[in-house]
Amino acid sequence: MSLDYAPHRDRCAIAGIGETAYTKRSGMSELALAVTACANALEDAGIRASDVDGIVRNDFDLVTHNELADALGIPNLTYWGISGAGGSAAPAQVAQAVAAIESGQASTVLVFRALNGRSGADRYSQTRRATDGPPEVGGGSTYDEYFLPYGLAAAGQAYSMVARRHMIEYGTTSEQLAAIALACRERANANPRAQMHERKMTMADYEAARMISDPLRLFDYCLETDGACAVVVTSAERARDGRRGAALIRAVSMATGPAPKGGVLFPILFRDSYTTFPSAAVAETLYRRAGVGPGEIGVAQIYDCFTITALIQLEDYGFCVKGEGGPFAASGALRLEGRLPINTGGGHLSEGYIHGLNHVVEGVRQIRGESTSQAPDSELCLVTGGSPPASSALILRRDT
Amino acid sequence: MSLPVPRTSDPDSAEFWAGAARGELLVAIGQDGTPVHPPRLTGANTPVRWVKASGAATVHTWTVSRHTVDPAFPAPYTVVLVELDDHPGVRFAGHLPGTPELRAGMPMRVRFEDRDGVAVPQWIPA
Repeated sequence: MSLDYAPHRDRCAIAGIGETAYTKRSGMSELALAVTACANALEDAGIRASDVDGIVRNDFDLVTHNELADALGIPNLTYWGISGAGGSAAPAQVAQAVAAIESGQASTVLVFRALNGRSGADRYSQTRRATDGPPEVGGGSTYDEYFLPYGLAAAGQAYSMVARRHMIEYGTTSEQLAAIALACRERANANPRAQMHERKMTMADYEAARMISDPLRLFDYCLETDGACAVVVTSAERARDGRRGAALIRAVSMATGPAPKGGVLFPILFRDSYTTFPSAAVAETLYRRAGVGPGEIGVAQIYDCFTITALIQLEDYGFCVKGEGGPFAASGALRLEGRLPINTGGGHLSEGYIHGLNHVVEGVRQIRGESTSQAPDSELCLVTGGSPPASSALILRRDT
Repeated sequence: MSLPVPRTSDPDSAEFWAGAARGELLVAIGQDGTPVHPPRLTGANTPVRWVKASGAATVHTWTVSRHTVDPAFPAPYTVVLVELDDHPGVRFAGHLPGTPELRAGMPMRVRFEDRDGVAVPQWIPA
């Protein structure tokens, strides 16, 4: 049964946000990063650790809910959840917190993501296989045997093949991809927390940067970041009693779309289409649940592990028709004064890569009117998760 | 640095690799007559037979890797994705040394590379 309304609409809110610094080398454990971000989020919300009864982590997190609860001094967790995979799931983690609160399993839920994405052992730019191990790859429903033997080893290569296909089908150009990278960089230049805060970038800089996996260049890739983010999710009523008020969660949505294929990432290349993401299915449900459409969204945090990831989502979320993401991006629409300012903290391309959760934090800043790049229209902020292999998104709303 | 070798013993794909060892490119066909790819021997459209594809395909997309991520594959090299002529929608990856000229829709043909005793399907311009 599909609902044309959502019982969870505006019933929960983000009461507090917290971060660590975004760096290349934190010098901290993932647990210390998580504790710092969570403590900052609780301080921001004016909520004590003893009032927290739920935690939602990401399946890529090394930190467990038990250890985090212990370290924060949470007396008892009545709920914990895990969402994934990885960057597809930051809005889905918030959605899980909403589900826990709405079903009465928890009242105040910490959602976090902590990683040493640059200095740690698990860098997403590296090959998926253990090159010092046995040469056999694949099996066990990974389907890696169809990809890794050909030198398809890192996520960027798969997204480069997606980008090439989008160019083939729709005539998309590198200059149009660059418009996304440049828009994010402008926002990072205004944001002292962003890793690329001091680093200006021009179209000439973009074009001169080295090709990593043709057609994607260095600045089509997001940053590898050490850091953590956390948000406090609770009922709208409780959030209104907190220090910072309620950034209302208008609606949440998750979707695999049809025939998503298994494995981790590469099998998306075997889908009927890989130039439309599960985001299209996320969007359909999200807008129905929220009772708003893309025309009413004034600002968006669009998951941008690569420029092409964001470009395709502009189409999937209905800001332009399929195939027109390139011209839309190049029109200036994504700049602060444009039709749809995106990634107003700098995004994964230029602020830092906390696997989607820094987009949720920045979305709350827009709702509060506290972004370093405040959008002219920030009543409603779309926040999307990574895509493919499956995706999720949410809409935040100002409490009026 | 040794090249990665496909695991040929997985229940879902063992038949595919056995076919490759005979020089045959096999496609799993499900109960409803459509391909199940990558092969998965369970679910709503459980494969009921394997058919031999012609080995003719066209280029669907590709990337030229200019940055080495796996030391077994020093850059530059090309990864191509092809779609079978006789089974539309069924695609395979392939490795091409260097930076060959490719274009979408370009005809390609399968060949089988012997890698540590495993026959690995590869794709070359037809």
